[in-house]
Amino acid sequence: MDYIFYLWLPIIILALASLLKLINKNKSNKKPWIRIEETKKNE
Amino acid sequence: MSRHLSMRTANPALQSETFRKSMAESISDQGAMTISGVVNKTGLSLLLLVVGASFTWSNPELSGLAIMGSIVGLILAFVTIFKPTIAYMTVPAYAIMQGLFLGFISRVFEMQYPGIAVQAIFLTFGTLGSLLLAYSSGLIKATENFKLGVFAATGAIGVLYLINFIMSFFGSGIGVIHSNSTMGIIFSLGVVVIAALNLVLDFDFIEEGAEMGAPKYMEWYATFGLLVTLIWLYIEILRLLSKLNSRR
Repeated sequence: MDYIFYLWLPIIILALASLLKLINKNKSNKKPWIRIEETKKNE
Repeated sequence: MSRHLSMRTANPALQSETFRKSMAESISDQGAMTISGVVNKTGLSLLLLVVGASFTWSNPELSGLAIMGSIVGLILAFVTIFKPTIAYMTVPAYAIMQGLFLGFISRVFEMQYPGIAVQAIFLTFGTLGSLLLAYSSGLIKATENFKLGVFAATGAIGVLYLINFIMSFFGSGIGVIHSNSTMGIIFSLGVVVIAALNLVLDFDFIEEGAEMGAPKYMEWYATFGLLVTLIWLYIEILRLLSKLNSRR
């Protein structure tokens, strides 16, 4: 394979890993969509 | 407390001592340094560099202009380091001068290996974009040890290049720097990686300056630091590509 591919490989991997990290960071910051609360009797 | 632990960077142009000095001077009515200000000034400087480069690219017979560009560029670099307050004048001029030099050497390499300059440009900006993403996502952090490592490695490369430069006067040199052997390519690859990691230190310097509320003229100074690293990275990528092409 062309050597240029091997030079681009670490750049692409680093960019993808950064994007993954950004996505995960945003995920953990989000509030949950569903909140389950305990309900008292006759509420 | 600032998360920029160290006041150390590998780039001789970017020392945090510079911020302290400038902070001691008045921020006055100019306002403070911002990240967007640095981004705009970097864009403008790169545009000026391209203007200079396109001139010598299309007139490769003007080799004297390219040599003049590299010498005047070096003088302007020293002026910028010692007098950052006038960086708004010296940095655009530095960009044009370095452009003249880069346009010429890119053309020389291009004549030998067609397509090499475009590949080097894309790889340089690909590296810049990828590292910017890694820095902003927190994947790569400019910790104390990271800065120390990059600083030491850059210093070692600088010393090696200096020895090679002195040896060249006696008709000799360090073979691995110019050789297209496997060791020569590994060396070039290592230098490219170190040059790229210097970008992270530049990003940290810019963020630190903005956080500390450095004076507005420091935007030009930070632009200068980023420009120095980008030019170094581009030249090293060009050198690596030429070594790889010569083995075909």
